[in-house]
Amino acid sequence: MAEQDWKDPVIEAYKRDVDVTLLRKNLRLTPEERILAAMELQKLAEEVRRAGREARRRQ
Amino acid sequence: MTDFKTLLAALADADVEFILVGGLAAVAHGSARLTQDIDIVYARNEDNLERVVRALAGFRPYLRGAPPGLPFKWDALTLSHGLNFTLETTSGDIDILGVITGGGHYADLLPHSIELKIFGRPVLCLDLETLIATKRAAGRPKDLEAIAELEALRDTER
Repeated sequence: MAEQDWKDPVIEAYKRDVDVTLLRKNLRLTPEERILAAMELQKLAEEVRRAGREARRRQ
Repeated sequence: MTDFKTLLAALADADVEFILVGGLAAVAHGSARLTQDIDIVYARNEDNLERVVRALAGFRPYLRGAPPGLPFKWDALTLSHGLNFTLETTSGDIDILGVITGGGHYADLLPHSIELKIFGRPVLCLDLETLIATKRAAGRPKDLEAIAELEALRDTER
């Protein structure tokens, strides 16, 4: 089998869980818009982490 | 949090020869995965080392995770004595890499890069196929999901 035809079964298994709708949505954006969205996601993740730390401290 | 815009703009404005790789390159291609730092491969010629130093000096780069107070001097000599640096800056984390597994040096990657217009500046980014190849070559279990997503992106674009 040619190398380019070979599919890694592990990767193929992971692919089944990829949310293609998110990818299609991202592909409609420009690279710059994708990077800005990633920064917003980072901010959100940081805020959620901060809230988690605060909740654990209160327990 | 890493300010991707500020750091990328600083590198581009200083005319640093670099190629965006890693998670942020994946984001530029459409990945939906969270990434926290910038990974770049930079050219190792003397002039470019000076440009890298000049571009990032204002962000007070320091070795990420290293104890405070190490005699780390941010200059071209330090860069010339090392190769890959994982740095924290006042605008977030950036890895400046002289070489990457499965991809090689800046000159090796240049034919496999595409120019993107980001924040009004031309920025070279590793092409999707090579990004997948470098993640495969790294052989890290944590990259398996990322590779699957990148391949799904490639299949979606076709």
